[in-house]
Amino acid sequence: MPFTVTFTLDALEAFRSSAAGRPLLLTLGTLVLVILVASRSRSTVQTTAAVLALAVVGAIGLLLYPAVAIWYGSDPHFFDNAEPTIVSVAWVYRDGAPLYHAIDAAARYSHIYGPMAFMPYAWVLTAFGPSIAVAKWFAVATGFAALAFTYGTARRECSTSRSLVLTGGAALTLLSFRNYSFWTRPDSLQILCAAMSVYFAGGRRSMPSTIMAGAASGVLWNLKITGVLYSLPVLASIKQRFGMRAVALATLTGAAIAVAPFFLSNVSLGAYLAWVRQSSATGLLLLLLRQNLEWAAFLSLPILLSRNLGEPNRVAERRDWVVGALAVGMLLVALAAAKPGAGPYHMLPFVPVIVFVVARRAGRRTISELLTPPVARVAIAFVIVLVMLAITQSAQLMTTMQPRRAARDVEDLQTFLATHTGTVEMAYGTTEAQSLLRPLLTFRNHTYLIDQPAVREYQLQGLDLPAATIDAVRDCRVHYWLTPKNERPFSGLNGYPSVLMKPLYSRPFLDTFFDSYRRTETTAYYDVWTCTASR
Amino acid sequence: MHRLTLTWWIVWPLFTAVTGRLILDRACGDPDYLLPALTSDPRSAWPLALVYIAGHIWFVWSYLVVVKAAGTIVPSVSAIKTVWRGHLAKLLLMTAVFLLEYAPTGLWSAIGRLTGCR
Repeated sequence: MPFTVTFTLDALEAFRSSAAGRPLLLTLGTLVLVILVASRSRSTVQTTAAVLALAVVGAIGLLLYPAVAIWYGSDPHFFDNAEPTIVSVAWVYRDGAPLYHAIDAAARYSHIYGPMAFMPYAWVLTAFGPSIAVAKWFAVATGFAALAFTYGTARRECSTSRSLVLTGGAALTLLSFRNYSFWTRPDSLQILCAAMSVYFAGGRRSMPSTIMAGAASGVLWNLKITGVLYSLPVLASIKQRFGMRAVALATLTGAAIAVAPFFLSNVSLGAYLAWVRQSSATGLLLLLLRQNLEWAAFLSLPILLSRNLGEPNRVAERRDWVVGALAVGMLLVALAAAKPGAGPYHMLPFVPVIVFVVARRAGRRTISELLTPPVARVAIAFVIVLVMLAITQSAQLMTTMQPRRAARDVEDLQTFLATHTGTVEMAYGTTEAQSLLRPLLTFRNHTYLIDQPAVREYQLQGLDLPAATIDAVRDCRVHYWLTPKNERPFSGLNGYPSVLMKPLYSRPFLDTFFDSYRRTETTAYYDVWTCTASR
Repeated sequence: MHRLTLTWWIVWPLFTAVTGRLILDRACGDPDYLLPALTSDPRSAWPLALVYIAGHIWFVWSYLVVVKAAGTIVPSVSAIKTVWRGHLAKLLLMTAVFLLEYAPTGLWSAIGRLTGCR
């Protein structure tokens, strides 16, 4: 790589790791610089500069988002270790395995995501064939659909150009969290459902709008236990437009949709709630809480900026239930997302509502009314930070993915699978990146015994591997385990603060594994551990 | 404004106590895992988080009151003084606690090393 490119990437990474988690402080710092630069310019110049900055930022967002999303979707490697979890669990669920296994079951793959986090993947993998590409393209499509609904919502309230700017801003906000809006974890579906519910709630006719918004909200409530918090502003909007009866109808529709999957034979509500209860005992991280609050404040800035501080509309804005419900929702999500493993990305499903509020306010006023000099300065600082965050996070995504894309490990795995019969699973190793292709194994096995992200969560909750899992290893339920080359099987350490550096796999489990399996061969990328009884 | 000044008597002492404890942990403990004994148990973690959030709500609320009265999102010092006339000390004390809470972690680590508690 040329020196200048390497230097730029290093600089971006240095900025990302030190400042990307502090968007509000970054905005305040940028604001000071903007004020210093703008102090000598006339107010009309400041307004023009803000208009120009907003237009440029909108354009950057509308170009960068599809470029990054398509680039990510075009390769069968994952960025995050829980992305393959969703795809793998979706596939075994489709084959009839329980989505939420018992706490002491041999299998270790259940998560506290709702059934709808897995079911769409089961459907698309069935419809288009089991492949990582299908799952990734589906996730990318949800990202695009979310932006399309966001644009539709904005367009109802303001002009095409302003809607495009707002959608571009939303795209950059989503990119500030790398690939979260188009990855195979539930967040992409959450953002889409939030965007759909806001869009439908803005429809002209009461009954269909309410039912559709309720249905989209129902999926949102099902995806994560905190889903209902994202719907508070949507319900407030329905209340403002159609009254309390419509709110009741939307709530009933949503509740029906949210609970419907639990009537399926392999989706147990009791087991799901048991896992949620188990997870609720993990406490909170105050560092995460502060980050969440800072992000909530940062994302709320456009609402503050679009607030009309002149006399005429003050009364109307004071009665804005949507903003009140949004504030309550954001605060509660900030609190809930302080759990270990969560974080500020839980704010992303609020982005479509924020766009709606800003579009509604912006649609009523001229540019000069909107962008008064103080607002123009803060707006410029805000969009500068937004662009910096989106670019640095996208750069990190790309630099992480580049070596993974260059690897020929997919072909290596496929060759191994073509020449070996029996069940093949990942034994993880010390590093995790090489195990992210595990859906390829699950597609062939139709079973899934150990999901390391689940094991990590369980350990945080105080659960060790149960006897049933150890028995499954002793019984060689899996014929071949693959580890990244030259790494010891199941040698990962936990990264959660309260169990930091604790080995993920217990001594009895490891002893049983090494009694039952021997390293028998290697491929280009993996060591192969074979059951000694089947040799 | 009345509610804001009234709630200060509850929010400020609690928020100051939590912030003080956090600063101590940043200086002398693991800055990435603050108050581990309290935050790993949901029974103490949630009340602690609620106090922390209450401090933030109070501060944002006080800002919005000034914004509304001044009619600008970047209010001047004189506008703040006018709105908070008679209660300015409350706002200044809360601001001071916020400045301490949001000071760079490196600063507290350095103080921890200097004082020998790290």
